Amino acid sequence: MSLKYTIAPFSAWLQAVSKPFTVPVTGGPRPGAPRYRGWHINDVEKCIGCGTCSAICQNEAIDMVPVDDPVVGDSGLRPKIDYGRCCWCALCVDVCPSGSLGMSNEYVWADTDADVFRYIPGVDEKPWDDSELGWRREEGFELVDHDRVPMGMLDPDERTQTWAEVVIGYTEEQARVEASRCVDCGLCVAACPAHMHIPDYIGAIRDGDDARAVQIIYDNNAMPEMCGKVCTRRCESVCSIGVQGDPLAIRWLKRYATERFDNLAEVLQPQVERVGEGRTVAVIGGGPSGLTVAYYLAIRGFEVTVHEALPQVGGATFFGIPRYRFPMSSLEKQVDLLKSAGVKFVLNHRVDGDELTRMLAENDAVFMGVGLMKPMALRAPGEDLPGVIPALDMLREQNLGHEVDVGEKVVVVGGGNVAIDASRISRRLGAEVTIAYRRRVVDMPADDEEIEDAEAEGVEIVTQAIPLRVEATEDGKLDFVWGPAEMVQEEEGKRPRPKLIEGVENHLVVDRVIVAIGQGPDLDWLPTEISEKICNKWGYIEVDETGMTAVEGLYAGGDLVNDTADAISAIADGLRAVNGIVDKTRAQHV
Amino acid sequence: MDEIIQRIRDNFGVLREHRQRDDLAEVWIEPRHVLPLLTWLKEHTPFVQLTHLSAVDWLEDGEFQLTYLLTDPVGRRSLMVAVRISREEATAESVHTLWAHAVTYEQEINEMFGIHFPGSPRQGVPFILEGWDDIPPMRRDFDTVEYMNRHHPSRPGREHTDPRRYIGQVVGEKGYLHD
Repeated sequence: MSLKYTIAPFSAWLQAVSKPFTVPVTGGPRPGAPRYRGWHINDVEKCIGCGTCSAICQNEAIDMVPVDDPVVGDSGLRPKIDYGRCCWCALCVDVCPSGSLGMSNEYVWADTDADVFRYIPGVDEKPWDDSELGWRREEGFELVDHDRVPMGMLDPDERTQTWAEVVIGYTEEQARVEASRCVDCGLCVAACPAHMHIPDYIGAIRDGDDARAVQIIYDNNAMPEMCGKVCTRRCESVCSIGVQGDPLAIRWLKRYATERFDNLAEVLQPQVERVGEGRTVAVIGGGPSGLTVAYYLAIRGFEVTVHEALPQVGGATFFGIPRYRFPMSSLEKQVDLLKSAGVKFVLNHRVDGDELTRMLAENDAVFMGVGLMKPMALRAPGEDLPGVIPALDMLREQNLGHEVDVGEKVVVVGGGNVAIDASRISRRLGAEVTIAYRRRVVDMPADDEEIEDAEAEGVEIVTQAIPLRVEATEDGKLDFVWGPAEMVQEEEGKRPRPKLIEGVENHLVVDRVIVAIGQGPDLDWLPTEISEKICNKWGYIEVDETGMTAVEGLYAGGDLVNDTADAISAIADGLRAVNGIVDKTRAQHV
Repeated sequence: MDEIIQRIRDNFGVLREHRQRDDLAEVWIEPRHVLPLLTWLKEHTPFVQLTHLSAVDWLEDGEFQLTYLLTDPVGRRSLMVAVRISREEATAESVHTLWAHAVTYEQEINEMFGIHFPGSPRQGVPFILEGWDDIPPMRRDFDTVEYMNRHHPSRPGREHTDPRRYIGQVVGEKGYLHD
């Protein structure tokens, strides 16, 4: 071995004192560029746990993990990112429907434990949580489509001249485009009282399989064409796309799918176990809850008879909803399906107490969904004057095809959908219409779109107006006297209450005062031994988790039972009773 | 710009064109015209510089698109020359004889899309993917997740909860009645 190889390692030490070739790092690591894609940040208050980030991730780097209990509109899950797989492409940030997810420009983080590189941004605290810099989705650059396909409507001037349906409906192409906006998060399913399989039928529409969409829809809604036209659509209010854009037009898509087929029985052909063969069920009241019970029990082999007091079933969706929103042909189509499933109808027949007792003895189950039929009174002097009429009476007369005369000028008292319907009908009957409502427009329980449509049709809305009295004038008209109110916040968290400003009186001379301030239960016909068991102190009916009342075999649902009093809640009640009756029948088979 | 595009129309034929801005136009031409057109542009017009060469996989159409971005450095305007080639053959003429640096673009596209530029010097030489053992990753039929699972398996302990199922359990979403 030459001497050179012995000395060489030591000569390297000489380099220790020579000028280095490298540039020394000063001031720590170089900061990331302002829009660098570094470690994630998440505004967990804004995040709704829709999981779209996880779904889009091309590397399956994101898991949704529970951090809280789910509530309607928030799954309670939050994204947890595995940085062993993340490639920092930022698709998760760019797609985020709520806009909560971002990336800081921090990129330096060293640790000896590899498992720390998997964390829940915003929940597991990190030094860069408040970073202003880093990657954010650019304004106007959205991977999800924020704009709803607009719905064609009749021109407002044209509408008041006709009873034709105002909403025109999507074309096939429009429906496919609208359906493709869905990110399939499923938050809507939880918000829907009937828990319809919304993302599934939207997916079927998107894929061009309308028959499949209808089959999915009818899985737990036997009146979807009605819901597709007039539903209160709580689903849309929690739609994740709706956080920053227009929510999916879930209602219009359902409408589209159901309107595609004239003969529903042909498309549906449900394959279910006929557990109810040889059993009979009586349904009192042909509204949404009763018809739901009738259909789903009939396809399971039960012999179902629906008893309806009016000449037509449909309940409030028949007599309460104007035909320009829900035409008769749509309702008849739903009824045809029920008939094809074997449901029998007894129309123009009001069930009394004795008959109910007899029904309970003769049938395996009785379902009662008779709704709220007693209109609330105005509770102001003059409420009994002729010309002061309940809105529901007017809607019913109109829908039964009877002559309705509202005169030339009308005031509608109330702010719910019934008030809006009554006012829009009055417009079509040629009257000048004013709505008087106690609170503000934002407080109106009516659907926003309905309010807009009414205003477009020339309905004037007077808010914070408290009815004081109604007086008959000498020339046979009515003087509707109202006082202005101020909104007072009495309790934190509750909605402000209107308080009358004393000493001011406004006069509105009209031909009709139409009262639409709600309705209550009308169950005087029930035998006492039944009503004292099933009614609570407000006169509503209480049921257990199977939909059954305290009377064995007597089930109930709809407005009488739930506190939301809309069609989809009634359908949900009907489904609950169906499950209750089917489960009980199965148990009896064993 | 208008005059140059008119000359391209007349002499080479334009399949489609798009005027993005005053200073940015795009023309689609047939593959056989790429080299003659780019040569003419470089030799006889102010568009002398090749600023970028990129590719797009139009999987559904069975085609790749190559886009040559040419720049007029004096007039500060750009012309995009786009061409669609068969995805199956995936072969295009090299332009490295016009611009030496095209070799690097062609090497990258060769690696990322598997498009071959015969005669280009560094075809088949790894650009950044040393030891790559799959189809070219920028092809849209490349399965990212499958590749990740094969090469970078997740660390143990990962668990994903589906939002719809999770919230559904709480509100009591029922499964399908019909199924």
